[in-house]
Amino acid sequence: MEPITSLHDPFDALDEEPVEEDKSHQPRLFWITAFVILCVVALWVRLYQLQVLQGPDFRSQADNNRFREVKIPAPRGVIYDRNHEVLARNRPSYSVGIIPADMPDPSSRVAVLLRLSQILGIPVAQLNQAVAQDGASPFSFIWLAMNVPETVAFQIEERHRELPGIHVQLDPTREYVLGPSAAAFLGYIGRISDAQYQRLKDDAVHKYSPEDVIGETGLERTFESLLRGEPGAEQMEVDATGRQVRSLGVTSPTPGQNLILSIDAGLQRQITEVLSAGINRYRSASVVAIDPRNGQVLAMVHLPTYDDNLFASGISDADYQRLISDPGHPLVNGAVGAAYPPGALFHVVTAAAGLETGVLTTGAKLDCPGFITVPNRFDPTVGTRLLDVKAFGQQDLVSALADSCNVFFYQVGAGDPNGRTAGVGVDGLAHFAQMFGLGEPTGIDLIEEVSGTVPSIRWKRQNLNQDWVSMDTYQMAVGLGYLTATPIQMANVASAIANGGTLYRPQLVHQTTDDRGGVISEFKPETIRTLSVSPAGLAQIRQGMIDGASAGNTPIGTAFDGASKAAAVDGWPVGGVSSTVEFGVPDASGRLPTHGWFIGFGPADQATIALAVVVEQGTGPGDAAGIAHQIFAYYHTAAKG
Amino acid sequence: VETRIWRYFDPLLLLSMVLLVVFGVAMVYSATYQRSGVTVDPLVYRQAIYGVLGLLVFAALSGLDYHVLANFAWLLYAGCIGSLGLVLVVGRVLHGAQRWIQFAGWQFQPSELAKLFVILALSQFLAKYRDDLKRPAVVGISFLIAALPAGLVLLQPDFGTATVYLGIWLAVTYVAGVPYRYFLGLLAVALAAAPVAWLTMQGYQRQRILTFLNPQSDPLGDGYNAIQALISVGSGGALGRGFLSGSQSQLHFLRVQYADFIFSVVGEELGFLGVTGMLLLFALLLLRGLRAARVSRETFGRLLCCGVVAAIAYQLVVNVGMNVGLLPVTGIPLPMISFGGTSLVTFMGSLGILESVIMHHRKFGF
Repeated sequence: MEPITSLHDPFDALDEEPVEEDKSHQPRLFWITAFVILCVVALWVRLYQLQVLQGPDFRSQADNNRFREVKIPAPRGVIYDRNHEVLARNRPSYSVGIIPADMPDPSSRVAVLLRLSQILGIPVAQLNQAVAQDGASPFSFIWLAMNVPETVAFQIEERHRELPGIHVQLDPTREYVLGPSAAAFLGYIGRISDAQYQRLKDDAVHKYSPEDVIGETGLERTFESLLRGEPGAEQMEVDATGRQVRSLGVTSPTPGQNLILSIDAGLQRQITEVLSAGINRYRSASVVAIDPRNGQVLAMVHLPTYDDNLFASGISDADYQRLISDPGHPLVNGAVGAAYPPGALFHVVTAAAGLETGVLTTGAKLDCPGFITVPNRFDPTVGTRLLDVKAFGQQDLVSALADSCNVFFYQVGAGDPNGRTAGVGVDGLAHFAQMFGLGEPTGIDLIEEVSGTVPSIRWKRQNLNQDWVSMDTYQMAVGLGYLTATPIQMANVASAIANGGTLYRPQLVHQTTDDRGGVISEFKPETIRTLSVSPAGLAQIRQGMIDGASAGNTPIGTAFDGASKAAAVDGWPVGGVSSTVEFGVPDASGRLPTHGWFIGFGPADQATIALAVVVEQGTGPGDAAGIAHQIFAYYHTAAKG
Repeated sequence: VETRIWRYFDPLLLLSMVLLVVFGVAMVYSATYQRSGVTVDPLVYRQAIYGVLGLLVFAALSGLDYHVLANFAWLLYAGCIGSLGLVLVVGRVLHGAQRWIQFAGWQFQPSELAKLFVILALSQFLAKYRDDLKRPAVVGISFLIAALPAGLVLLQPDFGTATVYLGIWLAVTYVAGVPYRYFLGLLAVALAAAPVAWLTMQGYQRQRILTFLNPQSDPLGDGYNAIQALISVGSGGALGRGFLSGSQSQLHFLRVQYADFIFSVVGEELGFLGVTGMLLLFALLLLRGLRAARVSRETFGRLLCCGVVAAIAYQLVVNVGMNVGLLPVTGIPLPMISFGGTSLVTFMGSLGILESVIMHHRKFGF
């Protein structure tokens, strides 16, 4: 090696006659040499800092770049009816989206979106808007189009080199086979909200991410944790455009559990059809059908309703606004979410209370002149006359139930107005109403359920700041005034009477199964309570309902002419009681609008179905019973067939 | 007599140059490895061919008495100005800039060749007026010699390369002995002009400076390369991820990594050990170049050497500086390592001239 220093420089040795003696440049040459050395040393020190001191940090940053965990969503559980007919399933559909971090640079984004716009046939402005709106992390998938046809999805995959950052995903889309018919209880799924995500993000089993869907209402919501399953994940190495280079490992997802409902899809469809035929005349209508032997819900229909498929693929703002501003409140499931005064349906509770408290003895007759006069509490000489539809004369419990005779139950519930006999009283009525499940949720698997109201002296004081007056007791005895009940509660009342006194928790889900059809869990009937009503008493109440829903004469000689008989089915005896409840403001002819109610069961001797029907603002007292007739007739035929 | 001069040939200069060129070809190979599905990218062959071509030019210019170049300095300078003008008219647009002239299937980048011709012209001019360096006119004209091509390159636009001419001018005039007051004056003018420059800058240039100051402000846009380069270099650690095994490089998180960001590939795959080796080779090359300046007995040769060393040192510092987050991202290639034919052949030819200066240092004088 040749030495650099001038002392030993061979050129100096050979330098016989220097051509230039001027050494003035030498200091500057020295300084420039020093400067070059300084610069190289500075770079070297910087590299030492980056590579040796901070190397591990940068190493993990490089790993963050190339390793990516892609979640594999678990297929959501399928929902079947009791006969394994599909009610809600997953249909694969292609979604196209963008992961901004995988795009080479923002300037080429315009060109990429333009190309994509041509393929998808979506205006580029709309795509730009979608990208701009999403404020999520640059590594997350932003949906640009859902339900993309397969051919288009393939085209995008084939051209991925021209479309960096654009990804095609195979997303399952929820499909509700019955659509509006079953929407009220199935509910719908939707994109998880920020608030929901914040609440659920630490759930180690279900592993929610901000792009996930979640059950929003109905069974989809109640059984979210079973339906969702456990997402899996694939660890992969990706290149700079986000394409997978190799897979490093896969954790398979655990599919969600399937739900086998107690719902009978055929009955559900039939009831929807029946209600739809008359829905123009009502504000709303609900039907709940329960199997009295175990509390399983056979059908639950509420109209007006909505198509839950609208939500499954992301509802548009316009559609959503239309639904929430609809005066018929289609998003509310009135079968569990609305409570109405039950009117004469409550006769059955008053009857049970009368029998059990000894106010009423078996076979006892009361005079029903068509009215009752309730004396004013301040001036007993002044009275308020409560009118019945007609004078029924002497009535016993059975005929009074069959005739829907209010005057009979006024006397049982509140006593003789002149104080000759005492009635059950407000406390007793409230006690029995609660025993029959009123005033509390039935516990059906829908969180939309409301309690209704069983009033009491204390209740009125607390809520209205008023004293309980005797008129309130009279009203309560016939299911009016402050008393309200939901269709599901009243169906359960009918069910308990029909089955001999067991109040079951109504259940929509019968079984859950795994993806191969094996049963995971079975939902056994759950008893809320056994009614403290003697079998004989219940038999009398049933008989009253059976008589009411039959053509013919009562045992004491008068002809049945209650509205309930409209429910009668030829050759298939049923029991039932109906009511017409006035409410609101009178129309031009002075008549008040009415709600029509019916509860009943069939067949009369060994009931397999209990029904509650309510038509809000029905046109006539026979509406609800007429609807029940059609349902009973179908059920009877279908059961025979 | 003619063969006698080869006794003074500096083998260390040749050795460090050849090692750097071979290293460069290897790094271009890694940076383009399986880039488009093939193992050896066409760019690797091209870079190798340029290397061989550069060696021939090196040899030819070593043997040629560099004084001859003085006679052609102005002609070559005029040619270079002409081609820089031409490129603006007929140049090929690539990556948003007009830098290349297409000629019989070969691309050629006049701004690279112009570096050498500016060095030649500056050295010739300052050597001729070495006794008048205090005169403002001489300093002013020397500045124009560098500023004219810089201005043309700025129009392409190629801010980075334009600054190389300024670096060359600074080094050459400094060593030539221009009084310090001129440099201080220029500094004052630069500071005064900075606000004006900021306002007249192109948007992307302004953005690059802002991004340099805070790369995280736009991690996927303008800050992307700076951040990924830093991650690449840092993740190499002490010993590197292994040749062809850098995840940043091989999975293309670095962009155009065979050109301006090739140092990041070196850093990632070969680690601190590898970059230390590379810096040592550069240091050896630069010190041998400065030695050539020292042994030269006359101004022209000395200034030539300083100019060439300045160009290489400047590009080395600015390029590595931007790869390690010390300097803003300006499109300056790493000499002899980054892919680029004109640049490679020009630098090798320039080093050939340095050998010529060493070998002819005793023969001529003014």
